[in-house]
Amino acid sequence: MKKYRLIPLLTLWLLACAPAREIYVPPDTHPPLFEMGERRVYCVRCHGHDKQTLDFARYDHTPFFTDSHRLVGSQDERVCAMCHATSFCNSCHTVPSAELKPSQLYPTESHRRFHHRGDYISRHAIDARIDPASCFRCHGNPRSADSCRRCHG
Amino acid sequence: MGDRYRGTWAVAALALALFAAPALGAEYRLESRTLLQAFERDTLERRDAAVVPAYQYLQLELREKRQPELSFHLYGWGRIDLADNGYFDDQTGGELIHAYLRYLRRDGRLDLRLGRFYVFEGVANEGVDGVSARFPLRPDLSLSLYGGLPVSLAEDAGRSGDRIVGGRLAWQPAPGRQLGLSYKRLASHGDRDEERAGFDLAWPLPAGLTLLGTSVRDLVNDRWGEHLYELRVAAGPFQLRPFYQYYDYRGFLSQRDSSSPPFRFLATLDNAANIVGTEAYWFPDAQLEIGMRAKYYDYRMRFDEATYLAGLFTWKWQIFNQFGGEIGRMAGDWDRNRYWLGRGFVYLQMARNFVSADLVYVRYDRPIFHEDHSLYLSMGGGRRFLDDRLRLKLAVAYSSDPVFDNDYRCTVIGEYLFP
Repeated sequence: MKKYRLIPLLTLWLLACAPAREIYVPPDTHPPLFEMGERRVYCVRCHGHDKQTLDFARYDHTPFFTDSHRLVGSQDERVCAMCHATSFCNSCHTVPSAELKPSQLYPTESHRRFHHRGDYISRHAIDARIDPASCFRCHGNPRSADSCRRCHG
Repeated sequence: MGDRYRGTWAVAALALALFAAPALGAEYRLESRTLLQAFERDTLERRDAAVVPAYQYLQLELREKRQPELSFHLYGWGRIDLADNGYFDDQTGGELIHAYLRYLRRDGRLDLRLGRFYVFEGVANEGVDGVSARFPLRPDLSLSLYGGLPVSLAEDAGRSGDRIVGGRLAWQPAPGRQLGLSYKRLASHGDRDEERAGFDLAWPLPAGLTLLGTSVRDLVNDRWGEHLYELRVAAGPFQLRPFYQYYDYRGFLSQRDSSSPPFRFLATLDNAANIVGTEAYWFPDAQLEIGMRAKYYDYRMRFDEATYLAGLFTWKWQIFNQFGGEIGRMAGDWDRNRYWLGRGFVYLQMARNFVSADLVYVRYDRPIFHEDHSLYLSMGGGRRFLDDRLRLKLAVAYSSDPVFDNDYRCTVIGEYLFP
């Protein structure tokens, strides 16, 4: 373990030697989404590909965005928070179980491509054998695994 | 906090906040969401017992008018089963999902939170009862820290000795370039359950390429738990996103209190998954999206390789107005790990009304509980009233699958936004 303790100190020393540059701080909130019409899910349609402040293309909500937003979401949650209240993220990401799965909580929002709709209680065993890490992210701790407990103990 | 008290605490906190708001000269925004569901389930006492739960979700945001840097955020839910036929462990339930006081300096350079909040950054995807802070060390270097009690262990025989601390150091040498180092340590009853350190990056490369990725080291077992790297290539209306993922079951999952039963077992196996794949997109015009996702799984031990391939299209012509289709094939090593999936959906908004539908059909290569396919159909609609502050919705879902035969679920939803 001791060998890892040097890493933060070494990192800080290296960064101290690097020239400093101002960080862009995103605003607290984005203008209301509804005013932006169909462009809402593609940042670049308003912001273009200018990367002077943010790399907007990185946050485009492509059709598989629900599957693969983790890499951008975990780097600066302030960017997500401009348009999404924490409660929006909590419709899927809840540490205490929300009891209702997202497709039951928002049954009319067919455009959100919730994973666990329909037969998923039957099909999840297949996905879990193939890729248990994808289940673990959301159901990996005792509180978020409430829905697993009825069958898995 | 026991189940029976959670809802009470949530309501008490909400009432306190609402009554205190005018006295503090605060402006507030309250979003109420009420759901009434009806379906049938077999319970220990009877077959086809009616289950009629009513859920109330409340989200509150308070902001001090004279000092807008200070705000309070609350989100929670409560439930009562109106039929009380023994489907739920308790007739009532509830949870405080988050409730925190936030101080955000006007220039955004100091962000403090106190209470129950979520941390999504670096190696953390955690609920914390405690305090967090984010501030710059230099103009291009920021540090975020958090500490307190982990919400994930809140029911595990008390919270004595439970602790979570962590943080992330982020360096942004230029817009769009970011390197992060993160750390998390979680203790259950004083035992070190999790200790992880992570590295993440977002780095533009020449020719318009971007590299995103993260690696996570499990410091308890002293092994890599995860690598995830993705390259983004954009060429006109086409995008390609090849990725590589690696998961070491012992290093990524956990056998400790902080894990849950199915994963505790898997963490005892010396298995690892290597996953390579890509997402590909074609945007022929502003309305049409065509996407493809392919994954190839390979394992160190237990199971042979597997592949997953999915294609979808979405046609959008106004906000939310869209329809689409998807077809997918999971091809595992045995026929019991294989299925075909087809899905179609539509969402139409007409003035203040909307209708939506979702259809999912799955065919299993090997029957599950003697069923070789499943069908799910959900239809819904609704209307907005009172300058869009009130929304009423109705949804009916039908499912016929290996677990539920001819299952119907009806949901009535009322959403109200104050003021």
